[in-house]
Amino acid sequence: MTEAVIRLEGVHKRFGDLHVLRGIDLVVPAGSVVCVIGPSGSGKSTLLRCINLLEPIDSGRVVFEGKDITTSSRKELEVVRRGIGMVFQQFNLFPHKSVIENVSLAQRTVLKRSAEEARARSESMLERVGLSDKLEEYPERLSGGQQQRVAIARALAMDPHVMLFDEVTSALDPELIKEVLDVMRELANEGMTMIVVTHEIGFARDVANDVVFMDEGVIVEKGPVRRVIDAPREQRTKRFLGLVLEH
Amino acid sequence: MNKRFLLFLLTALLLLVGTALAACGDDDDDDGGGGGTDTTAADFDTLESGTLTVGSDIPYAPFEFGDPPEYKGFDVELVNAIADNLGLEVKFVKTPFDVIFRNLAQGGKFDMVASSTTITPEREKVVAFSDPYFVADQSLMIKKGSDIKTVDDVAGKIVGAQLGTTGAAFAKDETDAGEVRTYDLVDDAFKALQTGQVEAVINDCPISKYAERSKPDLEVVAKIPTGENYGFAFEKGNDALIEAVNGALDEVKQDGTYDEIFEKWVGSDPCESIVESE
Amino acid sequence: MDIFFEQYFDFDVMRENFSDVLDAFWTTIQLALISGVLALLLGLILALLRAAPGRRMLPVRGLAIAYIDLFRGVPLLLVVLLISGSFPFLDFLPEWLRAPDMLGKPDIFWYGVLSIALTYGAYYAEVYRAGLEAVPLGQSEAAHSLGMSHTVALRHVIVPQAIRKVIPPMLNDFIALMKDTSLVQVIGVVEVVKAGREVQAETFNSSALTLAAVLFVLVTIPLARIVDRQISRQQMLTQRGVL
Repeated sequence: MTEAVIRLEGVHKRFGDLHVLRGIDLVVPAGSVVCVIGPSGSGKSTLLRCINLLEPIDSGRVVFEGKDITTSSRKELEVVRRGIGMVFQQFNLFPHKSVIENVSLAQRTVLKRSAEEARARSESMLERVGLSDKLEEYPERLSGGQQQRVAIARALAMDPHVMLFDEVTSALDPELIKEVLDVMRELANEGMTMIVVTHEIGFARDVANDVVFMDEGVIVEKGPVRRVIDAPREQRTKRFLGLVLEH
Repeated sequence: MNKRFLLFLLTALLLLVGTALAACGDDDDDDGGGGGTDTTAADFDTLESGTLTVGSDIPYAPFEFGDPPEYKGFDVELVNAIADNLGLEVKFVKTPFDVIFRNLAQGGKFDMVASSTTITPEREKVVAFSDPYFVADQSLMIKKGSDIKTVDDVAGKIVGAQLGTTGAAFAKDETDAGEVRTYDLVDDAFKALQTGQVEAVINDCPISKYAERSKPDLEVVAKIPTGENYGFAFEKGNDALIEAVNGALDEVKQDGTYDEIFEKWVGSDPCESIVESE
Repeated sequence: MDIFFEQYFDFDVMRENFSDVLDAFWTTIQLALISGVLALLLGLILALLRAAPGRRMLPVRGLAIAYIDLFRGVPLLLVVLLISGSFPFLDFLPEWLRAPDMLGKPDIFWYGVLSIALTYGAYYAEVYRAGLEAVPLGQSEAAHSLGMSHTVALRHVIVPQAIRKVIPPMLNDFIALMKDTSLVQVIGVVEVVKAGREVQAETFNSSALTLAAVLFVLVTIPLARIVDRQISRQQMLTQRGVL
């Protein structure tokens, strides 16, 4: 149960002169939910994107299910990424495809499932996120919250072992945030390993097992959620939470 | 920076205006009393007083070719001799052959056309001609090794010619050629013959013979005795100038200048030895 | 002014030569359609080659860029002359390629098609490139995070979206291509402008040229309207966040 799904060791990442990740060490056990919080520019999103190597890292190691994937070839990465699902802040649904096509596409082209199999799986995933009635719609006709739920279904349809969420509610109107968080909550309850970059401290408090607080490219503090959020040790953490929980 | 740019603009503008004004000054269409300062007895008008403006499709060796301002060739030298006789300077205006008659007919572009132009009834409808000054025939040219020997042999084949010439007309109307391809420049027709895109070229004999020198893989195999005459072309109604030119042409023939020019550019009739076809 | 009307609007000349000019216009259309399709294909291939990722593909990208620069930089007329002048001498090409004679069209027609396709392929490559670059980065990120390979992502996600974006400039370029077919007359192809000029040379009247212009406009104006409509439709879709 405590075998690590994801392990980051001494990860550094630069964008030109900007040293965005300055030595990140992180262990994500299977079945756990880790929330990553911190101010903008702290490197949270970059951290997430280094996990599935959307961003290659400059030094350190990324280990997925015991395998070092830091220097994997493109072909190897394609296989690895089937096990890592990602949901983006901007949804990134395929606008020229219907909802069900969005969810089925990768199943058919990457996992080589048959059309019927993919469709069945897609329908099931979409039911899970509460969008059974929108199968044939196109993304442009859906609200932000609905689109994000489709994005979650799309990632889940690949049967990943871990799900990465990159500020998935930040682009949503407030009244639409809840429906997405509810889906994520259910997912966590079902035992999915999740790494969630978020501003929703409330959600973190409710759902996360561990919380990681990042600032300026380093992990300032990490630990069980109750401790980090309710009784932070570091000044910076206290200040950040003070600022955030204030409103 | 700004000031310098402004100065540049101003200079450019002045140059432009200056050129335009200069051009305007030259543009005397109908020189009312234009021929005023010349000293010849004949009273004809030219576009520019003291100058004979001549339209010509250059190059068309050996009649008119070379680089400005000293063009070379039979027509060029003959025109120079005639103009000399009339006390005029000569200015050549390079014009593509397919529009040369149209431009002449519309007036205002040149006084006369000297471009190996055959006198034909169709052309006489739109322009006027001087007395003939050269007898030319059409010719059939092929690439060495071809089995085309006579005009009849081009039946069903692709024949090249220059756009707007009597050669093109002959190919279209008097042969059974499968296709007649016209080119802006006769040299392009010769090149097409060399690459095999056309199987024969029908063109004025002296020109094709002359081309053999630079294109040894081509050969004139037959003369087509159309008995064409070259004449200088004029805007219809420009009788005074036509008369003056005819007079000068006569004198140039009489005093041996014509023979000199002929000898130099054409030599003994180069097409004499070619077998006649039809 | 009378001369103007006489020279360019002589309806008798137009009538007498109408079928010749029309036949030649049909050649123009065939040239445009065949070259256009080939150029569209070539352009896509070039654009994809140009965007091939990875260090191993550097020479491929370099070649693609060199090709595009070359054919965007040399006038189409030159390309026409160079190809038709040189092909007969390229011994290493098989006969059917050196002097093609397909579908009842002579070699010069195909030299023309080749020249136009090669040149406009380069223009289209740049249009595709703009289209590919205009597809939001998030699309390829989503595709890749789902495990799609570069090729699969291109085929199902990127290119379909890129193509939708580039339809207006494509159509515009096609109109330009259609007009540029007139350049192949220099190697002997009788397309509509040449036909007009031949009539001009034989009749000393330019009205067939006017006729040629009218025929062109009959085709290009509707095409231009379609382009305009596509552009405004695109703008609407972009505003709604679809494109």
